[in-house]
Amino acid sequence: MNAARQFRHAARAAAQDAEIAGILRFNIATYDAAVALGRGRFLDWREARRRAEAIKRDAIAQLDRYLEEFERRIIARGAAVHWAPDAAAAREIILEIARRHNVRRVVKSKSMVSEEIHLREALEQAGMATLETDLGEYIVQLRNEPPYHIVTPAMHLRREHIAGLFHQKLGTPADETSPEALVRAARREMRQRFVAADLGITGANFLIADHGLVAITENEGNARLCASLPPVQVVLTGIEKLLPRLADLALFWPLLATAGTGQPITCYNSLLGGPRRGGEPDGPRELHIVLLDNGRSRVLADAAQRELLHCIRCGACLNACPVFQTIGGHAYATTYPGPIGAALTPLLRGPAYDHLAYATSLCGACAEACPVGIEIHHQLLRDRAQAAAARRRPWSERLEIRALAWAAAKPRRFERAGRLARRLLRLRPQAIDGTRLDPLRPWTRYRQAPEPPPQSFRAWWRQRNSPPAPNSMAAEPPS
Amino acid sequence: MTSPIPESRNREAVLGAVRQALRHAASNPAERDAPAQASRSALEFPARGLFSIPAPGEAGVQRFLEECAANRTEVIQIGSEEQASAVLIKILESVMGLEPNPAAIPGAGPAGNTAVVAAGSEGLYVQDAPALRRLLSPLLENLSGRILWSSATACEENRAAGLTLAEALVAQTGSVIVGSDCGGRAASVLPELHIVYARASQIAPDLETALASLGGASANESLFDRASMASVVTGPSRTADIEKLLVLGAHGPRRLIVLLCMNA
Amino acid sequence: MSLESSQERWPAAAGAPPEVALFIPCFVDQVTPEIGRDLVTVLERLGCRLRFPPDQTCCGQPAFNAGYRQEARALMRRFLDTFGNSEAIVCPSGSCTAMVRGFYPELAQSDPALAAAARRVGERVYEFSEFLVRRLGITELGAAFPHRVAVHDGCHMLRELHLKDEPRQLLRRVRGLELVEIDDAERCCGFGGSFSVNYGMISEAMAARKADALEAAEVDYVTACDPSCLLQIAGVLARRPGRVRTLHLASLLARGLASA
Repeated sequence: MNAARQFRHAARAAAQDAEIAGILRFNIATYDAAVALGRGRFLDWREARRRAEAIKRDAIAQLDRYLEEFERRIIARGAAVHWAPDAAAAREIILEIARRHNVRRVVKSKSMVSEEIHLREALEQAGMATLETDLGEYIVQLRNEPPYHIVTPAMHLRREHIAGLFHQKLGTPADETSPEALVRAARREMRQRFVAADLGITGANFLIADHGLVAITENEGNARLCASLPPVQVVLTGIEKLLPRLADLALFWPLLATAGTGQPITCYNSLLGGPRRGGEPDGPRELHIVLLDNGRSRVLADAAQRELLHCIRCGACLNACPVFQTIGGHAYATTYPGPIGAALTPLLRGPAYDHLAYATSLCGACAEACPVGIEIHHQLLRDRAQAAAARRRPWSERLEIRALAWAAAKPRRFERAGRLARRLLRLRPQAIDGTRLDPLRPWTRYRQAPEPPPQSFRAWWRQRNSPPAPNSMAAEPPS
Repeated sequence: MTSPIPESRNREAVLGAVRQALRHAASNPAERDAPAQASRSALEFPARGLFSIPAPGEAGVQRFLEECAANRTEVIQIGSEEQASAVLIKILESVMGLEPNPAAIPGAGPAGNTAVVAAGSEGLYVQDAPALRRLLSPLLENLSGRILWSSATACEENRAAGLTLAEALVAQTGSVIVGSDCGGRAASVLPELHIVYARASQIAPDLETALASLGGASANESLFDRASMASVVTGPSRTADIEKLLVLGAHGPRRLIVLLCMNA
Repeated sequence: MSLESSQERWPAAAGAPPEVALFIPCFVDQVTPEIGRDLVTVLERLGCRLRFPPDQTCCGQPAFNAGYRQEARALMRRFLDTFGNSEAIVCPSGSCTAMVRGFYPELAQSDPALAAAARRVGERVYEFSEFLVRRLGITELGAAFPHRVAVHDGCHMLRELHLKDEPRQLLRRVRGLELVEIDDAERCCGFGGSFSVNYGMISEAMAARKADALEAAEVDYVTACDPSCLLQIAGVLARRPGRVRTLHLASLLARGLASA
């Protein structure tokens, strides 16, 4: 089954799932309330967005310069920087590092880029036990699922689901459903794995050019542990994460926290400058930074679409999107779900994901929520333009649009076609409404169709404003 | 550090693709309209004017206390070093299972004389710094063998608490900034309790000022020339991954205590 | 391309009402012509001289939204030829207004002359409520409509044209009308053009949430400035037991004028 079809099936199933609808509604309502408070802490939220957009625009427009500056400065402190044109290269680089150190046990903190390149699968295939340590990621890893949401990986689960899972996998009491106890159990389990790990892998939220720093945002502390305990650390991230200046974080940290969870700032915002220095009691002996392209430079080449690279992965557009709220995260079957994923995935992963740009009502709630002002709904339109221009759309759609354009090219033709269509529709028996025999089924399967009116507006206008003429068109009678 | 992988080709592939993309886009007539208007000064000081920031001094302290209360950092205001030692003993008594020893420390406890002996805890990990040596000197006898100095060892699992200094504090967010020179990376994240000994004069009004001080006035005054990592810590570790309910102590400390010296 | 609030662009003009060219979207012409007739009623009552350029067909939005920019561009050319000389163009659809004002410039950007023509026409096209409130400076029509009424904010009205208060200003001055703010007024109804038929199951679920909010608010009517949203909402409401009815703002005002 191709991706488009799979999406349709999954979306239908999710749209009819009342339980998941309730869970999402509760989660998003809680999020909305927190974000409303959080935005209130900004004296001028719109100005904050404008500045963030301008800074990201500058960062992306001079990306080559900033990447090299970042590389030069962090290498000077002893880190190694690796460049990966694609997912396979990134996996190979990381596997090579791991093999060199005889790594057996890996701890990971949350990284959507690692999902993008399927890193955990690659490590496990190479015989390295790999643990997701972000609590939400840990839960979905135990369930053998991809994350449901880029910020809240276990958003689709209630505590009873998690309690059952932990009972089964960690041996917690079956009736233990208090979040404190569940968190405690997970912490205890994971702490041993942290202590024993040979390699820590984290993502990055920002790369800071002017000081050569990796900035990591989190709440739990697992990324800090990944950067503290194992003897080797890998940071895997996309090339678009650059910010020009350390000072930019005074805006981007609160912005990311507010849009992501409603917090004024997250609990831990760490800056990595390099591996352990002489005299420091702990920290990795080696720090490797892997910079992934994997289609990003292709997006960069399109001036009209490159603003998609401004995304800071806060998840706000997912929460705001009525389509995401209806079908949830798994239906997309992509690393990045929701509006940003729908806009970006066809560009990063190609035509097999064109359908995502069409599975949206283009309402723009995403753009309104975006803290860096990406006009995601307009980008979805540009994705559609690419798909149609490259003739990747179904022939039936092409035919429909062509027919509409042909009919609308001449007013008389348009009027005749409209009249014919309305007459035919009036012949549609009520008995077939919504059934497979109904020519309007794509509409009437889900809602009632309007009665076709006997007279068009233009016919009415002509009749009203001029005496009946011999021209039959002018005298279209109400039938 | 050299890598056995012939990676120079990868580097050129990625940077070359980026450069080509930027050239291509620049020559593309479809270039979008001028970027969002933001003045140069706004870009130089990205956060300026966007947040309510306390004035330096008393207001900064007040704001720091309020933000800490909101993010669950416990702040204990301290008047003198002796008082700090006394407060620290109280805390350690409860978390390390220390027992009072009436023979030792003056000025502490209800009777005016309280001291401690170690009893069955797993040690206190301490950043080896003169200020903390002074702070602990009244307790050294009682804690002997149970203090692990960062100069001697790394912070390991099962330490009862980590005691460190801070690089700076931030009033705007109620944050504590710890560098890896504050006893290493793990001292402030591995134990269940992180105790920070700081001075009120370390409070920066906002993130902008705090970040500027980390970066240093010139390139070689940067914190990162003496520390490999720093964390802006805003409250104890937390998660809300289960039904959006806040649970403290997800992976890091469940409690964060700041002993704030007011007159130093 | 962001559309700044029309507030600064068109201060209410004094003097005689202008000649108005009617921009009747293709599906209003063919499917909901009563909205066009009600628009005529209201504008004529305000003293506007009306013209219906007979060469108009479709602004090209269906083709544009589906990605077929070449086809859309041809229809845009026709539209610009048809309306190029009009001083004020009024449309009973926020969505089609947004197409002309917001998306034509992008569609025309490879041809500077065409882009200039698009911008010129874009400055003269008004959504119905915007025309009344911003251009004519009229909110009081002397209409009466004694019902509980909720407003649905169409997405293009809200996020492309930045028109939220204009329809409400008009409704607040209608005698007997109780304006009810519903939960999720700004939530998309799920229409989205071809989305409503390509992904009917998602579209329906979105509409159901809108219908839930309307029924919970126990309103008699929901009004909007977009016939397509109303088509979607009416289609879903019709299959539910509730009694909420849909009415375009122009139709509501026309009825209100008739009964005043």
